[in-house]
Order: sequence, then structure tokens, then C-alpha cells
Amino acid sequence: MFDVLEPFVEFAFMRRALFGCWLLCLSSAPVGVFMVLRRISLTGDALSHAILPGVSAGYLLAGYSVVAMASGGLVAGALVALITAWSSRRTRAPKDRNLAAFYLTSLALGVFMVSIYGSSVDLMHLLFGAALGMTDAALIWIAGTATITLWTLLLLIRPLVLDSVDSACLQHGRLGNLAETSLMLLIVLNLVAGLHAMGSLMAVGLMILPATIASHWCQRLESYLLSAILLGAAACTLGLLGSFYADWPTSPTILLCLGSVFLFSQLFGRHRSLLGNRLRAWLRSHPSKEIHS
Amino acid sequence: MNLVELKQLSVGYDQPLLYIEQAWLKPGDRVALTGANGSGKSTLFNTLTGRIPALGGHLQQPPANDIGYLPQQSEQDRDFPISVFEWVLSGHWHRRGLFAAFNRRDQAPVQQMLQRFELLSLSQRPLAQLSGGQWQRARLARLLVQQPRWLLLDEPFNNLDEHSQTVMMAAIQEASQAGTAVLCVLHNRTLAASGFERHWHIEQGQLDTSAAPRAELLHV
Repeated sequence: MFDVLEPFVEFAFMRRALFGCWLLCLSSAPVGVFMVLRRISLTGDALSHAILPGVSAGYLLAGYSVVAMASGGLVAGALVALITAWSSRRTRAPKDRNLAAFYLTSLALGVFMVSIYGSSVDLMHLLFGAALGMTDAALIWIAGTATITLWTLLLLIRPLVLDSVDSACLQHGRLGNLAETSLMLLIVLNLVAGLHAMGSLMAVGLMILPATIASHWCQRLESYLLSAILLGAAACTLGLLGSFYADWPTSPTILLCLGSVFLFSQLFGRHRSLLGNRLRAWLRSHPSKEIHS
Repeated sequence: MNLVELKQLSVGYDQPLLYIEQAWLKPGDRVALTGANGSGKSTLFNTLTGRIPALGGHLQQPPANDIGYLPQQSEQDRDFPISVFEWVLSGHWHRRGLFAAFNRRDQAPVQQMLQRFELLSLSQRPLAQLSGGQWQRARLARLLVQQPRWLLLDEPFNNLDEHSQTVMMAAIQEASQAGTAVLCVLHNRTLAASGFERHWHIEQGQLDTSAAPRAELLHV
């Protein structure tokens, strides 16, 4: 049975890909849990578009360099996140409206730059990533991101939790704003880290899908975080194997694995599922004969 | 010595909505605040809690860490996966800061508070499983764990069953006897008359601090 895992033993590039993806899950999944719990799942999607002009600028300046593209993406994403947060607080305009306007402008700028100066092959690379070609620079970038993310979450967990349940509670400390802004920056940081492995469109999936699945099964924050990380890691393993054996595209395969678990959870999960409660009620009212006898 | 003093205070977002010539609270005072919808009650609370700056005048009150604020129920998200006990315990976060762990001395008042609010048997339940009344009691319990000197309650009794109202009112009175000043937005005249010593009423952009809790004032 373990023969199926042979590629990870035999090939260094598969081990690197697996290590990189697991690190990415360790970092992205907890961020995703807070995004889902704070009901800002779509913000990640918007920000993933917002980093595009920075990534394009990095690519156009330095070629396919992880550091240049990631730095560009980080700057663009952080700018959009911070400007959105700042302008929403200043103008009292709804946050989603501001974010949508900023990210659309940013996306248009990114596509404009790639179309004028690059080729469509480059664009595909940016959008869907290349997990199997994990370079040293990409691994180091992901490891750095995971370190920053986990420390930041550890330091800010109390304001984050409080701000998520009762945002008005923190109105007099700046901690609520700090928690919110830090979370936005962590989203950007993790999107950029996922850029190389998953691509700018798919990176957000590794945040949102494991957390959404966890929401159908867990009721404690600890179990949410742990199961999101493990689910992400398992999906990455399957995705890489699918990519190796069947030549499937890696990041879509990973997300499709997670997507099918999500559909199952939506139908049969313990909480907020379509059929789960009915099924359990039916099982209780029809105990099996073995138990009776 | 007044704990809270408002002098020639003007509050509003861009335009002044409410003007307060003079108002004050001493430690232990219990004041009911009434006024029609849109009269500026929430704007006043937003100013007192520092969400918006005052447009002018003088405002003296305890530092932010000594203020307990209970916003209306719609502002919270109960789906967050933490237990009732953890939620009430989080009242200590202000004092413990971001990192320090909770010790036994922190847990004892939480247990007492849960018992006081008749939530002890539900303490391990997730917040989402509480009824509206139980959740409101848990919110107030969390605030009182903080031992605030100045308690701001925004329509705390809305849509509550009678039992929850009684439990909460008793806890508020107990807190005020221990020295906490309470300002509470209310719509219920019986509660305003029975549970509160003084009554502030907002009408036509002015705060009347000597209003009696008359029925017609409270029909809002």
C-alpha cells in the first residue's frame, strides 16, 4: 500500500514539493480558519487578484524570479489591503465596496502589464503555479512566511478571537484594528507564499477550503485549526501523487480533492449540513439488529 | 467626586446631533437613558466608548480599560467556536494582556459569575448553542468579570424572557452597589422606574438629566 508513496522516497523534486506544500498548509490553513470564522472568505479572493500587478512588475523587471515576483506581490497586496482598511475607517464607506473597487483596478493593471509586456504562457504560470518545480528560494520564502504567520497568530490570538465574536468590545483599544489589519497582511503574505506552488488564483483555495470543511465538523477553535492543517496537507499529498502518476495539473487537483471533501461535508457533516442531522436521527430511530440482540 | 462628567458636550458624526449642557455620574449611580429612535442615544454611546470623537465640550470619564460596554445583540457573531466558560474568562484579557496565561485566581470569579447568571451547567457548551437570553447573560457576565468602574449598556433587555431580565437586573444592581456607575439605554418604563435611580431623557437634541421615568417619555 505504501508503494504509492514511492515517488516521495525516490525523487528529490517530489520531496521538495511535498515539504513546500505542507509548510504552506501549516501557514495558510490557520489564516483561512480566521477568514472563514470572520466571514471574510471572499476577501482572500479579492486580495489574490490585487497582488497581480506587483507580481507582474516583479516578473517584468527580473524574469521568473521567486523573490522579485513575491516582493512585488507583497507590496501590491499590502497596499490594497491597507488602503482599503484606512479608507473604510476614514470615509465610513462599506469595506467590501472599497475592496472591490481597489482590487478590480489592481487586477486590470496586472493583466494590462502582462498583456503588453509578457506572453500568455507567463500569465498561466502566474495564475496556476508550478508546485513540482519548487526552488530553494520558493521553499525559503514559504518557510519564512510560515514562521511569521504562526508567530503573529500566536501573539494576536486574543484580540483576533475577541474582535471576531464581538468587534464592538474592543472599540477603545487599538487592538481590534491591529488584529484586523494584521490578518489582512497575513492573507497577502500567504497568498504570495502560495504563488509559486499554487498560483495566484489557487493559493486562496488552500486557505478557505480546509477551514470551510472544518466548520462542518468542529466546534472548538483548536480542532478547527488542527483539522484544517491536516486536511490541507492530505490534499496536497494526493494532489502531488495525482500529478506524478496521471500527469494532472497539481494545484487544481489539490483543490478538487478538498472540493469533494467539502461537498461530502456539506451533505453529511455534523454541523450545518443538508442531510447529516436527518441521517443521524434516522440511524438513532433504526438501531441495527445486532445491538438489539 | 464625580466619576463621569459631561459639560457642554456636543456629539454627532459630521453635524451636532445632541447637546449636553451638564451631566454627571458618581460611583454606584444607576441611570436609565431614554429617547426616541434617532435621537442620538447610540451616537452618545459611540462618543463615550471612543468610536467617534466628541465635536466639542468637555468629557471626563475613567480610562478605556475601566469601561465595560455592552453593545446591542446584533453586533456579535456567536458562531465562533469557543465555549461559554472561555468567553466569560476572556473578560480577564484586558488585565492579563496578550500573552499571560490565566491562573486559578482568574478562574474562580468566572465560576462565581457563571453561577450568578445561572450558566454553570452550560459552561462547556459552544456559544452557538445558547438561547438569546442565555447569550445575553453570558455577555454581561463577561463584562462584570472585568470589574469595570463605568458600565455602558445599550438596550440590554431587548427581546429577553422575564427570567433573564430579572437575573441581569439583579446583577447590575449588585455591581452598582459595589461602586460601578451604570448608564443603560432602555425602552421599558417599568424597568427604568424599578431598577434605576435616575433617568436621563433625550428630546430635540438636548439631554434632560432631571426627567422622571414617565410613561409618555418611554413610549419610543
